[in-house]
Amino acid sequence: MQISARNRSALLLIIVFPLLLAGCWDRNEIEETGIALGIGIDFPDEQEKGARPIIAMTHQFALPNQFSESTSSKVQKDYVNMSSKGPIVFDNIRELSTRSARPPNYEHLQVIVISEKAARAIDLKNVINFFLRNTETRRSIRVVLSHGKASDIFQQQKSTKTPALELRELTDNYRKTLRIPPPLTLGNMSEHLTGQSSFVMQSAASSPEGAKLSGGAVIKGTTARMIGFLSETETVGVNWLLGGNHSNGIVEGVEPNSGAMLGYEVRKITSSIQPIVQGDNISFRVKIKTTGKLREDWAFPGDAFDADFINRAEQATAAKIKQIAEKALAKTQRQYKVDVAHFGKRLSIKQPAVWKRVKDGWEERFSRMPVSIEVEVDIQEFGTRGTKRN
Amino acid sequence: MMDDTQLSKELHHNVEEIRKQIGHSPDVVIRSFCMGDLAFQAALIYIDGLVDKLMIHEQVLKPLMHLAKNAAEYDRRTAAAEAIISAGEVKEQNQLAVCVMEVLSGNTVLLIDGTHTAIVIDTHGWERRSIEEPVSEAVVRGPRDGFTETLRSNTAMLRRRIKDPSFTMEMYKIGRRSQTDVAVLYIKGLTNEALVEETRSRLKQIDIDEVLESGYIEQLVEDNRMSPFPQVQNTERPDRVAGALMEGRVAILIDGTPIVLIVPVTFAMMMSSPEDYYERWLPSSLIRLLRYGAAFIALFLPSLYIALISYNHGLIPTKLAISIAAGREGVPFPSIVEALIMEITLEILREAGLRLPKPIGQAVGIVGGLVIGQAAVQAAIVSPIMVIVVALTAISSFAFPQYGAGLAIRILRFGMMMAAAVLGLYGVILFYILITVHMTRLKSFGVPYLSPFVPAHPSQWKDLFLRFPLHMLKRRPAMVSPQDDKRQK
Amino acid sequence: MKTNDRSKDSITATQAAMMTAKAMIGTGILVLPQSIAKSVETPDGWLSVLLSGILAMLCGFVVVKLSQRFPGRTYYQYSQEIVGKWIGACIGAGMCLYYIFSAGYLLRVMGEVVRMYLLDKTPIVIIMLTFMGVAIYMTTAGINAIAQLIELFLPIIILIMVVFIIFSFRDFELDNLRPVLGEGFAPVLKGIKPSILSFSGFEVMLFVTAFMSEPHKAIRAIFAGIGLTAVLYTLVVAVAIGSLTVEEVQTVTWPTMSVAMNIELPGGFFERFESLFTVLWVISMFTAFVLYHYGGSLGFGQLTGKKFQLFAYLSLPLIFMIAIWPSNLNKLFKLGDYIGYASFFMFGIIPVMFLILAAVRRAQHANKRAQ
Repeated sequence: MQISARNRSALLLIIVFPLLLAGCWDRNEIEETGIALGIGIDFPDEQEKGARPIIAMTHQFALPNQFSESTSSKVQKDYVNMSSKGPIVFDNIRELSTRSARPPNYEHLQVIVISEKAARAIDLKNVINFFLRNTETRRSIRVVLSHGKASDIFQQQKSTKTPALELRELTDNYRKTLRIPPPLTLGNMSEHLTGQSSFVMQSAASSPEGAKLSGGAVIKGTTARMIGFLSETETVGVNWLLGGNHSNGIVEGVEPNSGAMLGYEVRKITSSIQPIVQGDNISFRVKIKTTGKLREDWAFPGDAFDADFINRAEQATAAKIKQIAEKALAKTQRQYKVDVAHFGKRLSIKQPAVWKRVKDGWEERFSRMPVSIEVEVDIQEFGTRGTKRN
Repeated sequence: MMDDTQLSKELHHNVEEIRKQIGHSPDVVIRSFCMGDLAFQAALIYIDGLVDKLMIHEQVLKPLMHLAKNAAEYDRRTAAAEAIISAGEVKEQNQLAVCVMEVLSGNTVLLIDGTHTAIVIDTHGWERRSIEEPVSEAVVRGPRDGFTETLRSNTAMLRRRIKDPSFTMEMYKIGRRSQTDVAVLYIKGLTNEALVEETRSRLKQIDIDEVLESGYIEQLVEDNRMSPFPQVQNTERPDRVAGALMEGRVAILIDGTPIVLIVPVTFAMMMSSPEDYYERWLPSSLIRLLRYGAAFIALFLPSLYIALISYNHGLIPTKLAISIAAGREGVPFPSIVEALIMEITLEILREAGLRLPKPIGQAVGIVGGLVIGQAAVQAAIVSPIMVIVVALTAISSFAFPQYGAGLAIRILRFGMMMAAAVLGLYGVILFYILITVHMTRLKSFGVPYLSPFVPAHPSQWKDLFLRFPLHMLKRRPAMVSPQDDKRQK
Repeated sequence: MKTNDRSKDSITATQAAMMTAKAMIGTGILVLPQSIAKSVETPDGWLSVLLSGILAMLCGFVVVKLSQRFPGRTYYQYSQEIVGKWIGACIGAGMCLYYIFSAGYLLRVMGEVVRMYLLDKTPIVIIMLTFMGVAIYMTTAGINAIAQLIELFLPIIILIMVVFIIFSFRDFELDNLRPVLGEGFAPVLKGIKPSILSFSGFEVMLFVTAFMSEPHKAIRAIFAGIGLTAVLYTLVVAVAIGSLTVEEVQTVTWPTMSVAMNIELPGGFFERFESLFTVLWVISMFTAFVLYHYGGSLGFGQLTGKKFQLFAYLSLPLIFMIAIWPSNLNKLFKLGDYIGYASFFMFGIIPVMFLILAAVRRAQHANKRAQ
C-alpha cells in the first residue's frame, strides 16, 4: 500500500474537520418550527380590477405546549391560525415568515382546504403546484373543498380538538358512510388533473359544532375548476357507481308488499362498467353487485327466515339503489357533463381503438350516451333476530 | 538474557552464585543440611510464600535427612536423592540460570555437593483463591465455576470437561522479566493446524517485559489495533472455553488472571452466550434476537433521536411530534448537547458504580439514574423523552453477553451521535456504512469478522440470529475451518 | 492462511451475480420510470424494460464469453493482446474514464436526492465529500472486501425494494396499467432505448470474471444478476405507473420518490416513507459507487503496472470534479444519457468485435500450427 495508514487518517481528518467546524446547516430543532397542520386557500372578494388575482391563505399551526396540557380544564386552544394574502402560494408563505419567528414546517400537514370560490375561479393545477413541488408536503395530504370560506373551517368555537386534525379524521370516515365521496389525496388530485379526468371530492361546511363533511364537489378535469356540488343523496349514487372499498352505509328501501321501510347495510360493492360499441353508437351498462345485511325492517311479521321476504327485501333495496344511482348520473352526466365514474377509462381499456377516436371532447359526447344500470343485492344475514312473531 | 553457565561441583560455590543472582531478599530460604547417613552436604533453596512448606518438610527434607541409608546402591548422588524424595514431580537440571528461574517460579531446588546436577522439585503452593462464580458473565442456567488466577487449576477445570487424549496444551513463557506462563490449548486433529501455527507465531513475536493480565497478550496479537472491535474473545467461564475448543478454536490461558483468551472470534460469536445452548432452542432463539435488537438500540437510538429531533421531524408521527415538541419547549440546548449531557452523565455514573463497593455502587446507580434524570427534566435541561432514550440505551448496552463488544458499541454510539448531529439521518446511514465497511475489512486471526454473514456460509445460519434445535446443528462453524467438522451424526 | 479461506482475490459465483446486479441497481431505479413514461407514453413501459433486460442478457453473454477466453486476466490486460498494445491501452483507458464518469454521475445523483429529501441547506459538496471519504476506505480494501460488502448489503437493498413495492400496493390501481398494448407494439420499442441505458453496469463482469474462483459459472452469474435487476426494474416501473398514472409519471422529477411520498402506513407509526427510503437508498448508491470507483482505479493500475490503491486516491478529485460539473438537474440528466450511450458503444459493440477478433486470431493460430 503506497498511502500509509497515517496519511489515510490525515485524509479522513481533512474531510471531517470542516464538518465539525461549520456543520449543522440543516439543524432545525423540532420545537423551533411551526408545525403546520392545515392550510386553507381562499379567494378574497376584494380583488383589484385588472391586476392578477390574489389568493388568501390560512395556516393552522399546532401550539405544542397547549397540546400537552391534558389537565381537565383546558380553556386555551392548542392551535393558532395565521392568514396571509398574495398572488401566488409562495408569496403567502414568505409573508408568514415576517410575522412568525418559527419557520413553517409542512412535514406534518394534514389537510388542505380549498374554498368553493377559489376552486371555481382559479385553475386548481396551479393552486396545488407549490405543494407538489415542495418535498416537505407529502402526496398523501387530504384535499377538501369548502362551502363558504376555507378559513372558517379552521375556526371552531365549541370543540376542543384541533380542527385540522379532526377534519383529517373525518375524511377517513368514507368507510363508515356512503354519504361522503372517497377521500382525495394531493397525489390523486394531481393525477386526475394531469390526466384531465373529472372527479368528485369531499366538501366540508363549517357549523357551530365544528367542521362537517357534507356531500361532494365536482371538479371538471379539462378546466381544472369546480363546477358544482352534489347533495348527499347524489354522493351516495356516485359512490354506488364507483363501487370499491368496503363502504358501510345504510340504504333505506320500501318493501313492495307492505310498503314498510327496510334498512340495508352495505358490506361490499362491486360495480363494473361495460362499454357497448355498435358502430358509432356507444352506450354503457353498469352492473352493481352488493352484499350486506338486513339491519332493520318495519314490516309485520318481517320474517327473515322466509326466503321470499329476503327476496322481496333484496329487490326493494335494488330498486332504491338503482334510483339513487340514476339520480347521481342525471346530475353529473347530463347536467354537469362530467365523467366522474370513469366510464371513459373503461372504454379506453376495453376498446382502445374506439377510445382514440372519441377521446377529444369525451365528456361532451359522454353526456349524450345512454347508460343502463343493473343492481343485484344479496342479503347474506339478518342479525340475531329473524322475525317479530313466532 | 539467559546465560548457560553450568553448575559447578562445589556446593557452596553454587549457593553463592544463586544468592548473587536472586539477591539477599529475606524471602529466599537456603536450608543447608547433611543427607542422613551418607553425609553429603546439600542445600534446599526455595522462596517462602511460593512453596508448600509442609510438603517440603514432609516429603523432601524429612526423607533426605532420615532415610538416606542405602544410597550406596546408587551410582549417582542425585539418583539417590530422587529415590528418597517422595514428592510427585522431580526433574534434573544443570544450568544455573534455569535453577534460578525454577526457584523464582515456586519450585524448590536441591543442590548436592559433588554433582553438577541440581534436582528441581515441584513444590508450588502459594495462596490461591477458591473457585467462585464468574462475576462478569453470570448465567441463570449453567455451571457456576469461574476461572481463578492459577493457571494449573484453570487447565484442570478444562481437562475435567474435555477428557479427550488429543486435547493438547503447549506452554510458553512470555515476558522478559515477568516470565509469565502462557498455555495454548487446542484439540489436535480437530483444530485447524494453520490456526494453531498462526497463534504460536504471533505469541512468539511478542517481546515485552511484563504480562500482568491477558489483556497484554490480547492487544499484542490482534489483527487491527486501531479497531474499536475486540478481535479476541475473553471469558472467565470454563464452559465457554470448552465450547470454543470443541468448535475448533484455540484458547490462550495466562497465569495470574482468570480471563482466558479465545481466538479467532467473529461478531456473531460475540453475540452468543453459552446459556443459548443450555436453554431450549425456542427461548434461546428469542433471547438471541432480543440481544441483536438491544445492540441496534444501544448503537442507534440516541443518534436517531438527534437526527429526528433536529433534522427529519417528518418521520415522527404527527401527534408524537407535537408532544415531543411540547416536551422540548423550554429546553435551551440543541438535541445533540442534550443527548451528550445525558449520555456522559450516564457513562460517569456507570464508571463510578463499577469502582465502588457493590452495595454502594447500586445506590449510586439508582440515585444517579432516577434523581438526576428527574431533576434534569424539572430544571428543563433535558426533555422527558431524552431521559427515556438514554435509559433505554443504557439498559440495552448491558444486554451484551461480552463486555468487550458492549464497549465497542458504546464508543461507536458517540461517533454515530456526532454524525447525526452534523448530517442528520444521512450522517447516521453514512456512519453505519463506515462501520460495516470497517467490519468487512476486519479479520480475527485470518477469519473474516462478519462471517458467517459474509462471506456467506448459509449452512451456519442455523446458529446465528436463531439457535436451531441442537439435533440440527450437526457441523462445527465452517469459518474456523476445523479439520473434523462433524459434531454429531 | 486457511485451507478453505477465500483469502486472495477469489469471488464466488453468487458474489459475482450480486456484484453484477449491484452495479446496475443504482440511479436507474430513481430515474427510469420517468424516462420510460416520456418515451413510451402508454402504460406499457414495463414491457420495454423486460425486453431490454433480455437484450442486456445478450450483451452480458458476449461480455462473459470474451472474458472466459482469457482466464485470470481482466479486460484491461487482454484488450492489449487482442488489438495491440496502443489501441488496447486506449480502449482500456476509455473504460476507466467511463467508470470515473459513472462514479461522478452517481455521486451527484445521490447528492441531489439527499439534498432534496433530507438535507436542504447543507452544501451538496459536503454531502458528496463525506460519501467519498467513506467510499475510499472501502475501495482500497480490494475486490474481496467489496464483494463481501455487496453480499451483505444487496439483500438489504432488495428487502427495501420489496417493502416499497408492498406498501405502494395500497395506492396501486391495475387499471392504470391497462390497456396492455392498446396502441400496439410500436410504443414499447420506443421505450427500449432509455431502458437499455439503465442496464449499463453488467460490464463489471469484464474484470470480475478474472477474480472468480469458478469462472465457468460466470454466465450463470451474469444472467442471474441481470435477471434480478430486470425484475426489480420492471416492478418499479409497473408500480410507478400503476400508482401514479403514466401522465403523472411524466411530470415528476423522481417518480420512485413520488410513489414513496404517496405511501401512507396504516396506524401512522412512522410517516414519510420517502425519507426512510432515501436514507436506505444511500446504501445502494454506496455499493454501486464503490464498484465503479474500484473498476476505474483497477484499470489505471493495471494499465500502468502500479497498485490500484494509488489511483483510487488519485481519481477522487476527478470524480468530484465530474460530479460538480453539471450546473443543474437537466444537465445532470443529460450527462447520464451520454454515459448511457458511451456504455452502449463500449459494452454493446466493442465486446462483440473483440470476440470475433479473438476467435479469428485463435483460428489463425490453429491454422499455423496445423501447417
